[in-house]
Amino acid sequence: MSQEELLKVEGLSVTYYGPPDVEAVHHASFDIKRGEIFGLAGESGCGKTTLIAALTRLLPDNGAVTAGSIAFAGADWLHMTPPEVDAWRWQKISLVSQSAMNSLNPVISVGDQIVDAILAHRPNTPKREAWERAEALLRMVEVDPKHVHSFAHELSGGMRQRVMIAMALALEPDLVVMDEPTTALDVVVQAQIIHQVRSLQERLGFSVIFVTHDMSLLLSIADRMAIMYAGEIVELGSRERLNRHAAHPYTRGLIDSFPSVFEKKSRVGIPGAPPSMVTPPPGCRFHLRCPERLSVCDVAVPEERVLDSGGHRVRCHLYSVDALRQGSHD
Amino acid sequence: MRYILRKVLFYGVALWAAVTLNFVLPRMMPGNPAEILLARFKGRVNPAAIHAFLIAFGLNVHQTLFQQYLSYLGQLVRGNMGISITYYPEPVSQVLAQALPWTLLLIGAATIISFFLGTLAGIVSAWHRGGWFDSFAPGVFTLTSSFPYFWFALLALYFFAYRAGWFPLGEAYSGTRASFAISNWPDLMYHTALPAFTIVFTSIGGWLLSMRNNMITTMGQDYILMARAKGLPRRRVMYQYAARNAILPNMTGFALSLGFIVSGALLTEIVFSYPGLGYTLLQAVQNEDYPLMQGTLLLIAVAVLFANFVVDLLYVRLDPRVRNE
Repeated sequence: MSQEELLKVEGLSVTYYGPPDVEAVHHASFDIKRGEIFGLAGESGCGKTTLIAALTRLLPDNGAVTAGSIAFAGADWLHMTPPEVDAWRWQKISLVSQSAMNSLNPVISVGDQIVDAILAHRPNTPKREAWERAEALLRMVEVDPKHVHSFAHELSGGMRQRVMIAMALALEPDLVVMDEPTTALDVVVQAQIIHQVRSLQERLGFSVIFVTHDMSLLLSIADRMAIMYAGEIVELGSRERLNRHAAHPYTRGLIDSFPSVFEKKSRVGIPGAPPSMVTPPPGCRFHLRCPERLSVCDVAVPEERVLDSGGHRVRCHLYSVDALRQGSHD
Repeated sequence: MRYILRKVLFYGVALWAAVTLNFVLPRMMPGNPAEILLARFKGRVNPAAIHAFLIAFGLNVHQTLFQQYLSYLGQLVRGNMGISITYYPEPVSQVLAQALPWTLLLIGAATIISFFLGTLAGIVSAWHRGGWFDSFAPGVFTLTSSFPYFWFALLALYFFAYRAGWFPLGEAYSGTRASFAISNWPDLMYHTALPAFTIVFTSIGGWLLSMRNNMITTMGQDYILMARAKGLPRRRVMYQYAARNAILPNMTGFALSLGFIVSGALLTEIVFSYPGLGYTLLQAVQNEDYPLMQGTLLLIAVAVLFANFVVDLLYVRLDPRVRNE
């Protein structure tokens, strides 16, 4: 795997204008290397979908990036004009969205929708060639190519998601954003699709941002991952590090709340509910639910600490020496 | 194919029901048309003539109701719907055949123009939600849709035809030039423009609002987001992805209004003295002209069924989901 940087997000904040105004993503920083699968995990409402919308420049009209920058393939992505962005869409960055069920236009055929994307960006492609490409893409995700003439309602959930993946790869983009691509599917189909993504990614070498709330899934597929809580990235590190040495109490809680397929252990979970994003709690945003809370957590916002040379970072007072010295457990 | 077959069957049964109701209803009403006709001649008719009338109107008292029904069906198949009392001795079919083209021209053109303009305005309005067009069009056209039609039509007639003299005061053609020859079209347009305008102006709001609402719902769908993510040209997203789906629920409403074209716009035809079917129906009602009423109502029923049938077939093309229903 090359270590060349494809995408670098720095200090990104996104606000939805209300009333009330909600800052759904606060000061998020991470980078994605070429050819890696980068996982993004967190509970519902933690801001992962908003972060994805900002990355794909698909924020709704009432949402805006209020701070930070995104460098994508060497360009200042946030300052590109809409026509420039449109030209880059699908060629450089494509999307597999949350619900495969509703992501296909119900009244035009699957092939039409793939060809649409090809012709929008490569208008000189002969029609026949575009359709042959659509068939080849379906074959690549192991869907019978005769389904280019099928409509969404004629396909099963798993097939639709495969079609979405095929469509996302139509123009061989550098980055494929997958927003909970398997959430709506049963576990067997889920496993097949994950396997497929993995092998396509190894073959074609694109990068993936894989968004999910399923930690165990992420631990099996992602090279590196970031954990989000209440709009912030609270921990970021390689799969190996997070698997063995998850640092943030929230990350550990997430890992413990999912049953493992391979080993038997009791599920602990995280007590309480995510905080309001309108008025996030003072201090550490997680302190109200944290089992290892210090008195300093209530008042001071934790700084980000780097824990190892591999870039394992955590935003938690437990790893700040000063705080440990001063504070004590409640 | 099974879908089409089922539709054909359904409309066949509906047609039979309409025809039968059309036979039953007038017979449940008090009095009979022959007596009304006789009343007009003030009794100066001999009994043999009365009997001839009764037979002519299909009211042979020596037949059972079922025999009457059979002969009614038989006559209908041959296009014989009896003789009009108002336009005696013209047969009903001929009266209808004279009025129908005018109604199709005026109300048909107005309905189709209204649907297309309203739908287009709804698409644009929803797509640029909160923009300048969206901030005035829905309001203005809701207002015009709530005008009482006859009031608006009379105003338009008064100002644009009577005062300004831009349009004729009524009728569908000048003098006796009741022809659909190409050379006569400027004259027909001249007569049709104002009544058509009043219909479009007062009906466009409904199409606009329902299309705008459908569009807004559709634009929230994931496939619109995906189309944008694909970097498709805006126009393509707007028409091929959003409008193409949003228009489906409106097609049913359009089918109904297409069917009702035939019933004519009664008020329009009265205000503009337009020789269409609505006007004919009014004449029939005023003169207790049962055969003509029956014929008109049957024509309307058939037209509504036919329009719905056509739209159902069109639906198969527009919405692939009904094909394997």
